[in-house]
Amino acid sequence: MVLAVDDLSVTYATPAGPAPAVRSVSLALGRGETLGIVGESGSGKSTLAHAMIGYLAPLARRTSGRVLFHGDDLLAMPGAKLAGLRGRRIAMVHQNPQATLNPALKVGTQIAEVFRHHAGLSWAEARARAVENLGRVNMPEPSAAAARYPHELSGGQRQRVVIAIALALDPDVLILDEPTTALDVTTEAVILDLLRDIKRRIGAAIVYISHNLGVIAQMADRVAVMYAGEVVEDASVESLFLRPTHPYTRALLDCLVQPGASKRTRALTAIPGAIPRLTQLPAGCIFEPRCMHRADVCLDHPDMEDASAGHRVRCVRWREIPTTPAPPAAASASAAQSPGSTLMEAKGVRKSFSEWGVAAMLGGRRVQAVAGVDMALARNRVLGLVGESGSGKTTLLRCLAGLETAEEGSLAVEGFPVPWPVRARPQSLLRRLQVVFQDPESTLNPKHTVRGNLGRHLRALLPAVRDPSPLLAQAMARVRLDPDYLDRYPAELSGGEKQRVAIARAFLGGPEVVLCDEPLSALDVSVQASIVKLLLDLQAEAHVAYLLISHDLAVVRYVADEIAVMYLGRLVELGPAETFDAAPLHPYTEALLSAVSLPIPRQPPSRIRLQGPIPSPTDPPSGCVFHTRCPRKIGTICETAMPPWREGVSGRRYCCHIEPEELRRMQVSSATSLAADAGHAPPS
Amino acid sequence: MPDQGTAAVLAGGPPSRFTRAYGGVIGWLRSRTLATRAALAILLVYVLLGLLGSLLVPYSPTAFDMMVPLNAPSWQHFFGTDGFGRDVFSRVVAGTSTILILSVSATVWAVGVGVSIGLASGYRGGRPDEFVMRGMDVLMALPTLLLALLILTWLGSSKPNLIFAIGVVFVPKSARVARSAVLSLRKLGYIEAAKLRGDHAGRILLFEVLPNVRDVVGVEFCVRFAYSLLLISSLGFLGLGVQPPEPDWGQMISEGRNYITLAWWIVMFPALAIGILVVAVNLLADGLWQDRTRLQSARIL
Repeated sequence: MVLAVDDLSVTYATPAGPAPAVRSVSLALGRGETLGIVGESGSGKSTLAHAMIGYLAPLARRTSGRVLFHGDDLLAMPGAKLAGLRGRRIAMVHQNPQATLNPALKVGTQIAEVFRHHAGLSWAEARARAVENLGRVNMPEPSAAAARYPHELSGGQRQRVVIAIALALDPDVLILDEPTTALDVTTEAVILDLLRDIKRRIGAAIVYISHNLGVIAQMADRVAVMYAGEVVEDASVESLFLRPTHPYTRALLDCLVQPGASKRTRALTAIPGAIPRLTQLPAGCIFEPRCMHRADVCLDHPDMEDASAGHRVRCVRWREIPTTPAPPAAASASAAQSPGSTLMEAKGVRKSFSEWGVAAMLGGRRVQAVAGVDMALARNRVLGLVGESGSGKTTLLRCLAGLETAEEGSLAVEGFPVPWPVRARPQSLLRRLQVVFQDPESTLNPKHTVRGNLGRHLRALLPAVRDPSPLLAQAMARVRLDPDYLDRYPAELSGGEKQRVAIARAFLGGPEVVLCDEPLSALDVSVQASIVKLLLDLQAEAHVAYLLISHDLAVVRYVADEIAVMYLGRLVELGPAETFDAAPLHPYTEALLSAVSLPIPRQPPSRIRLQGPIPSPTDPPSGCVFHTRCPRKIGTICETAMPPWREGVSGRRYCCHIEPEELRRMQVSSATSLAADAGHAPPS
Repeated sequence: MPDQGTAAVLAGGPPSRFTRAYGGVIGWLRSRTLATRAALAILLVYVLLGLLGSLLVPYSPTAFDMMVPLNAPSWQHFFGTDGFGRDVFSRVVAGTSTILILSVSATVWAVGVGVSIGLASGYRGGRPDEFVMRGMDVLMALPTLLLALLILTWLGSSKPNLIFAIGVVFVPKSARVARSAVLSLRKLGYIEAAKLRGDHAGRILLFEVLPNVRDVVGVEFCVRFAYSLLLISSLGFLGLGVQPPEPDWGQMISEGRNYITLAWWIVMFPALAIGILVVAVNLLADGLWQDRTRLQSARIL
């Protein structure tokens, strides 16, 4: 065993009393093995990761157990000895590469420092080794990259540098703490490919921490599932994903959108309740208050039991719970609704930004955020809008909402033209068009109670209402919250509850169009599922049209009736959601779909990858804007001519020079060659 | 460091203890640090002296008594007497109300105007904001004391002019602080939600922005208050502040300067009065800021 955690408990001292963030965790990790640790926020996974490099936060205290590195207890080791191990034999990669790298030093110097400090090489030797290491992490042009500063690199390249630093001295243990969470989905896929490759090449024991079950399924050999500070299940990746045993693991997997699933075929199951506060833990099983299989025996704290060889589970009732997955629940009510009339239609929307100050004086160019988009929203329908960050999808939503003023284009609601700026729109229109924002932390004014937040909205939207109280109580009931919440401050609500209040606010005036700007991305998986359910239920009740922006294709595909794909301010593909993953048409859509990590262990590598960052919208590429990154570029026509809109199968439209039949042939041939490389049969 | 999610779970009891403690003054005081409470106690003494000063003084602060010039501190004259035989203690106490009224009014108007400009300009953004803030930069580029002197020599020295001059000097600084506070808020969800229900800018600034910059404005008020105390005293020292015979600490220091080798007390006591007051105000500003961050982290935890 390279690294072993033996009965470790870590407790934080907080104003509200001791908070045991990690309790009796035992894990072991051998050479060449990858241990995935998966858990929602508050599960204690970061505290555990830090303990694995011998670090405890100032207010944290070890209350039991050891962390053994080759048999030595890291938490009892003198500081000097620990400093010699860290960075040399135990390395760590953090979530945010921007914060990990020093912005004032060239990245080559930062890698070279490791060799200087730990291996005592001269600067010249160290620099040479730094360049060599950048090559190991597949950095294009390593020697040129070494001479750059972190801000000159893209997010994915920065994370490569951080990985190069961690790998520099061939560590025995590599700890990856959410290494791709801060990255775009396409970049994440490329970094995951790199990590998979590294895993094969080096013999290090790897700890991979993530909240994303899909990523864990791709990366890990063994998986430990953490919940509120305890490991509730610990098994090989195949065993865990194919035979999940603990009710929490199973509930968590049920919260995920299965590949190919949609609201028509299967309802999502959410976990009721919220993760317990660490200062008020239940006495028995920690998951008991939220567990659908709970019984009286669960009021005693369970021990880890062996469910099968190498599959441990902390549940006394695991034998009695049926192991077959629950049958697909009835499809959501809204799926049965037929599409209604067009509510909102936008044509030729353009919006650009210019910079003020020095940049503008030096001939600042305009950033074309939205470059001519046509779209329509119909009653009872969900339009999903996907794209990487920087594709202009949020700007488009803000234009529709009136928060930005589009420079060109027209907007009509039920056929009547509507001005762009929100100040110029009539009050009767404001009521019908509302937005749900991304960040639950800032969506409510922290200085007002929930009643204050909602009440002000209600009075403005429905000035005729005399007594708002019954309407506010009704609004809370609509989003499945207790009316007591009206008198709480936002700080007393969890992220999911705040988002529910924000949804209640959007529905106060009886809206017809609700624009949702990444409403799920800041929430935990189990909470996401419940918010998706809520949005669909509300649609069934109120027959609204949704525009749903998300970078999570799986969710969009599940919720949406129609999906629009956006790249660099333009739509590149549009079509019904159900046919989406069966046959992506535009190469960009194909790349986005390939980038999704499915919660199925040991998937064959996906079809295509996008290299490099999204180009700057101040200077979009000529011809087809996607040609600089397109894996299916056919020739100079892509660089010179704007591609036409083409009709694909089953009502799908896409904007590309390649004919649908030709595209299909390319996709099949690349899948075959990739599968041959990886030794898998081609997917049918 | 635990991530924010962990921190939220570490929280323990609901943070309502802190948010609801604002109800009563006692609760408010109890949730403050020792420094804040000490500063408030010192300020209370000054305010009482300012209010009741005329009842407390043993001598007339302006009456000459040629029998007792330059007397050292004694039981008859606690702080001694000056070159004209005026009682320094009486003059220091009598000067309290003048300086408090002047500096509080100057601060109220400077911070009031400055914060309004800063909030409006920062919230509006774009070219108008650029314009206003560059104008403020021009005002700020001139040395504080020089600008105040310039205005007072132009308008002539009187109490309203003094307040006006100090206001002009400090408006850009308050504006800048308020602007930076509003910049971090203007794209937040609750502000945009207010726009989406049709609230106009004034309403949003008053009901959505102001409650969230209240702490920043409070600290800004204390800091400006301390600076305007110093500025009024400096102007008094230079002869452009409160005009004789009315007692003023700066003016007293200026007069006592000539006697400093003979009678240290004439300079010493007004200087101490200024010093303690300024330190107390700064302590309050510091304490309020610390309480703010402490309460914020308590709310997160």
